[in-house]
Amino acid sequence: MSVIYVITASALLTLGAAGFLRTKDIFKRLIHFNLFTSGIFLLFIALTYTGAPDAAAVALVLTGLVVSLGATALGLMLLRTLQSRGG
Amino acid sequence: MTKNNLIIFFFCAVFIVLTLLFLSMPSFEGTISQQAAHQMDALGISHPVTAVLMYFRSLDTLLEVAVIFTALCGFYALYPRFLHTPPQPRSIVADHFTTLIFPVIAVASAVLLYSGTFQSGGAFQAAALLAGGIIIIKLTRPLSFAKTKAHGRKFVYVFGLLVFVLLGFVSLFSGSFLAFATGSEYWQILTVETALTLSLAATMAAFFIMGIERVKR
Repeated sequence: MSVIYVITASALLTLGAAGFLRTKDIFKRLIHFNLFTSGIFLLFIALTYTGAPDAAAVALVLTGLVVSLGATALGLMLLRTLQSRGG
Repeated sequence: MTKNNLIIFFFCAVFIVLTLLFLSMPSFEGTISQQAAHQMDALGISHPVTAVLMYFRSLDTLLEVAVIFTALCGFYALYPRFLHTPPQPRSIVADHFTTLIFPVIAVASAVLLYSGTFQSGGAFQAAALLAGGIIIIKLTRPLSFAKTKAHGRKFVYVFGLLVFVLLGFVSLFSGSFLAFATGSEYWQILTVETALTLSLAATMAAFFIMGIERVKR
């Protein structure tokens, strides 16, 4: 594992969690949610990296990336619907 | 000390504790990947990530595609609120640019898809690239692609999932669900990946295209 990646990952996790908890703006919360998931993926890869990327870990993170894309897209669409109704 | 400073200090402490915790973790041993690597030689797929995604954890991948499809269903549930798209002027330059660039993108996507069998690449990366190409077409609206039918699109969205599930049931004849028949794993995985590329590209492009359409007021 490389130290710099682990530090970056935990910084992303903290920033994502802090922003998610502190802001009331739903759109900003979605952005912070994305920051948090990026931290998780980076941490996962950084912790399992031993000379070469671990195949099982890469496969899991790839799955997670696609799922988080779907979640973000649906979240944005829900936000738009909320906004168009004056919420 | 103000409340704001307290919160900042709290999160700094959280950051330091997390970092120390992660750094003190015992070093990782990839036993699962090693087991996968032992069985991989018989498969004909030499890139471990593709082998894990499509062979050893294929049910995970199937359900992941199902998750994307569910998100698209959510999109369609919200979609009728954005019915109107403003007319855009057609540009000759953009038209020609798209007809030049899209074949390149399609070929690059196919290369990415195929290269998943021996290096980094595969259905998801190829789909992301193809989705970018479709978004270019949608944004520039070349005349040659003007007559896309909605029903065809909906079929493309579910095509990958259907092929995946169908292959899963076919493989029931030779054992358990999604246990690909020995001897032809290579071609079955390539078929699934191709189908997944097409429908994931369409889905991801739909996420963008449906998401940006204007609200009719």
